[in-house]
Amino acid sequence: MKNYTKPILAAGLWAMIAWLFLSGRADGYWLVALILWGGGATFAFYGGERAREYGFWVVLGTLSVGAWWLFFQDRRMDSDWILCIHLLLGAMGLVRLFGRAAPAWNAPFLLAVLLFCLVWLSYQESINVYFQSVLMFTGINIIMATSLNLVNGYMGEFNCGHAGPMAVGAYVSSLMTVALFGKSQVFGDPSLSPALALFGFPFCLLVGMAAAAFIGFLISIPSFKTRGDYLAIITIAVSYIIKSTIENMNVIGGARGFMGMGQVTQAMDKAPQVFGLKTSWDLPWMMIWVFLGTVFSVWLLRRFVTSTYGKGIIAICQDEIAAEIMSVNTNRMKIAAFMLSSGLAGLAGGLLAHAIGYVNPSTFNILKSTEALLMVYLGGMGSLSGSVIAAVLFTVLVDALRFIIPILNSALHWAHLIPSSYEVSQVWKWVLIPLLLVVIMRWRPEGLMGNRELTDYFPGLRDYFRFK
Amino acid sequence: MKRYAWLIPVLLLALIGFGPPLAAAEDVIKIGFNIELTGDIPDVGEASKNAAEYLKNQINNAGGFDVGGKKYKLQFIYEDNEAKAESAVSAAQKLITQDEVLAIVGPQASKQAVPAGEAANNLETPMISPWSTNPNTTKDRPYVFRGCFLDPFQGPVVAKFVTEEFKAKKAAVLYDIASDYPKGLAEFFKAAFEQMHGAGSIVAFETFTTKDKDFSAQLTKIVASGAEILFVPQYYNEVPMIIKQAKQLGWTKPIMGADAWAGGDLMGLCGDDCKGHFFPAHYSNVGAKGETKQFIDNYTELYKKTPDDVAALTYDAIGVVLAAIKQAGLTGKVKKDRTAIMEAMGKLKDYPGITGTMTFKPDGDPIKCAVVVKINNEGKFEFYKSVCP
Amino acid sequence: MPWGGALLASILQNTLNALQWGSFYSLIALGYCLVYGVLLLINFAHGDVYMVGAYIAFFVATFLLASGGLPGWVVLAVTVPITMVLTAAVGVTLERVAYRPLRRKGAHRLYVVVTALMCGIILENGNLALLGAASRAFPELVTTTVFSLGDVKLTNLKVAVIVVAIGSFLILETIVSRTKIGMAMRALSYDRFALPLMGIPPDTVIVFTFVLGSSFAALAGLLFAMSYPVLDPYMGAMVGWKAFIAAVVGGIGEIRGAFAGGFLLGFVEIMVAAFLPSTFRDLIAFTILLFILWMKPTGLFGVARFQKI
Repeated sequence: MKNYTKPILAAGLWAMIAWLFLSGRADGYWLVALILWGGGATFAFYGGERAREYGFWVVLGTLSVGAWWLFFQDRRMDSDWILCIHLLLGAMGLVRLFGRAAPAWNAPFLLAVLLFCLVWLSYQESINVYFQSVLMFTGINIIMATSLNLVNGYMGEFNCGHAGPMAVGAYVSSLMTVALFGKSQVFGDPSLSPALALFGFPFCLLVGMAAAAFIGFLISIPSFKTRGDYLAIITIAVSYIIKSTIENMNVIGGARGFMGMGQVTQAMDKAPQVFGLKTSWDLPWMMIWVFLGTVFSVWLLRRFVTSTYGKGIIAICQDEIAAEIMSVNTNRMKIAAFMLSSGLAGLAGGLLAHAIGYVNPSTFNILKSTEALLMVYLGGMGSLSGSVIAAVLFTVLVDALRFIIPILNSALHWAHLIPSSYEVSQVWKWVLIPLLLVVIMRWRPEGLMGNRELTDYFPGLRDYFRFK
Repeated sequence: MKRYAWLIPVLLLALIGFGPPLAAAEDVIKIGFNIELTGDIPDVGEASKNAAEYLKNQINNAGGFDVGGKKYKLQFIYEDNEAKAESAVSAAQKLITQDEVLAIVGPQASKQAVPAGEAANNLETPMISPWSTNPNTTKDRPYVFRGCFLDPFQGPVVAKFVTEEFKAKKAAVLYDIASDYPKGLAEFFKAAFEQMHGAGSIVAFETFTTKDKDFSAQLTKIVASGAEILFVPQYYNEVPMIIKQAKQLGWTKPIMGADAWAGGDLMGLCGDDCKGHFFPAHYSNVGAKGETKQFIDNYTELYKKTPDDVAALTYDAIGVVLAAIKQAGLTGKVKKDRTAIMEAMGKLKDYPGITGTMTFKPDGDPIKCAVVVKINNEGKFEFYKSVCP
Repeated sequence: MPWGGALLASILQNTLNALQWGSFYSLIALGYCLVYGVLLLINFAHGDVYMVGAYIAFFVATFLLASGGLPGWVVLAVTVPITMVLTAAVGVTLERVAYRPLRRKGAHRLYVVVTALMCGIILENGNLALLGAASRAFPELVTTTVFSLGDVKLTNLKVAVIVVAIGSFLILETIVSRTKIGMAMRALSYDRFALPLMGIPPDTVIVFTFVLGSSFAALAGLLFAMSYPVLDPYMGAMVGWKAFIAAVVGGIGEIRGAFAGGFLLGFVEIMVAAFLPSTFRDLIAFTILLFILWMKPTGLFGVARFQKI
């Protein structure tokens, strides 16, 4: 970090505190809390190792007290938020204090707490449906980006038809859930009791994954001989063929799309009926499934690429012929990589279909594949945490710009920088996002993470989780 | 981690600092617009926004909208759904839960309106799609309405019209298979026409894919098939290319369109080649009277183009929502108001819109007439015939 | 008419259709191929450069028509060079602003490819944001005349498009194989580190490649706008992807390959739509391409690059 960055950041922090005070957004206790915050942060900037540690706790402590104070003052902050912030902070503290005893359990523990918080906040409607769906899309994009990274990053191929297997996974799993648990024009009445939806759903997702993995298998066969940009064309062609096939299948709606998954996700609430109970579990089920699916994909991919077997993929990326000589069965590795990558894409597709409650073949057009490519290369080839960060950044950016663009518009009008007749509309979103990415690429030509993981940059994070 | 601990307060401060200020609620009526500002059919989104802005300024400049003796300012929130199904869902959810709008207008195209309708219905918010003609949009969804006639109505109207007008016994269809609306309409037309003239009377049923520009192979087939009429249920931006290429390949017989022909600036794109053809429309902007004429004149003056069907239907859809709000009254409790608006909307009788009077059937579809218009030699859409259900 | 005659007419007609449609793919594929041959970069923004070309042609032509009262063919003759120069400027700007810095920093080529993809999206949506959503109608510069040869219909535009495509191919082929700069381009693709040692500035060669590729994209854009006179910001995206597919199927990096690949794709698409159910056009067309790539993994004209161990 350059030596002028810290003073600028500190000055910015204090300027913001001053502004919060002057604009009347912070008063009384808030001001004290903010000054403590700012002090703690400045302390952490400039102090030594020990001071940073204290600065960290000062910041967390003020945050905690401040949140409670607000709650008792005028309930401006929801009690659920307080609960969840404290649960998370507490869990992080526990891991910091005792985590070294059983490092393998740190990440699962933190994830479980996070899942509980998300579910609790959604259940209490402290996160509204819109933010829930943004969170779900984030998870789905994470699966999409990380799974594509296996082929495009670790194996160094250029797959630009990732939407193809996604479409297969989405359609197969949706058709299954609707046929089994939902009423539809295509299949008529549900063939199983809708109360079983909760338990049948992961099974349907698995079938969708298997079907998508089969597509991956088909792509991998030409990849024995064909490489590089020729393989890229094969992937595009396969995704076109899939899209065109679905469009021609009038039975399942064709271009009109397929729906009915909404009732299946709603039927998950009825799960207690299986045990003869009259209650209903009114939980945000899709959120839970997306969370589990995301954790599962990242876990599986991490296990795969760090295993001795999976390292063969990285060897293929470095030099295929050399890998062959070193007794890597390149053909089998390619099959494995394509099947795993496509299978997880199918999982993403299945989750997407159920999160929206509607699938349409044109959702899985070349733009979807482009988005996946973008996230992989933004994060960095061969970096799982990079793909995760890029997926989060991308999804959040897409939705944050919905809010930022109107602010930008009024700011520009206020400053008379643009003629009053011209409105900066949402159209600019898709100019600003790629522009930002081009700028990021210029700044970091290897993507955000290069081929390294987050823990390589921030070794302190190893206290909480390990990527390798 | 420790070295970067300062990031945490900075980020949290940024959240508080840039978060929405705790503004006092004003007396406003918030209506959300879930429209196609980018993507395949940006014209449609722009027309909807123009119509909405026009209506809003008209009412707000007159002091606001009167509900139960109290004046409310209108606040319209425009969300772009990028002409994508999933963005339409998140836009609807954002409008409902984040912006807390009373009702949503849009999406316009069926591909977006069908999934967005699901979201709106699940969240119990009234939604009215001005232009979506697909039956599934409103089916089994008490909270979802539409402002136009349906494809199952339009298809037979066209079939009947070509039979009576051109004495056609053999017809050809060219449509986009990857798009919901043309596909549905083409199939309804085929069914109706074959019912009248027997199986095999559709001599060519040709397709292409969205964003195609060359239709020569399909048109060559159609020209050779001996059809007496060509039905093109496509959007305004594809029609000129189809008609021009058909002409170059030797098609001299009449071409029949669908309501989407009037979705944008068809005549500006097509020029002379489109003149003399017919299509069913939601309203005809030539020879209008009263409020319709006033709308057309003002809109034309404001935006330098004649309002298309989308603009007129959006204007009417907002009108329907406002009429329902007036009838239901406002309590200030968003959820309660939404349900009241939905109930009031279902009970509207003979709402006098600029595209015709509207009464909603129980499933949320209006009973409305179609107007078959002819593109006359000045390039205007002239009233030719009115067909009512 | 007897069935055989109708079939023959239909085949002839569709051959002409396919030649015209393939010409556009070929012209755009040539641009992909030039840049790829030199830099190993898939310039995904190329389809959108072609869209920009069509828009520039639109503005130049409308301006000339409105200001001068010149006859259509004069306007066309003036529009062609202006459009080519302006579009070449756009292509070179992309190279300078987006690709060169990455290349200098030694980024993996796929990062440059994704940057190109982003640049394409910026061009599309920037156009939408700045010029508005309305599609534009390209003015009719030359009156379209329809010639009839029996049942086969031919327009002057169709003939012109095919002739221009073949002409462009011949010009490019001559430049690459007969001239000094062409030799430098081939040398750059052969060994980019040895080139500066021979006293040839690689950046000049690269800029020249982009000028060449973009100006032919502009030509394609202009002809496309004349044949299919509705312009919209997304018109380049789909054609761009398909032209890229054509270039690869032909054997990417080979001028002959791109040219043949473009016509091949045009033929497959048109013939499938004409003689098989058009509903299955994409399905069958892409299956055929897949099959070709399976049989010849380096495309029609491509030569496998041997790898030293």
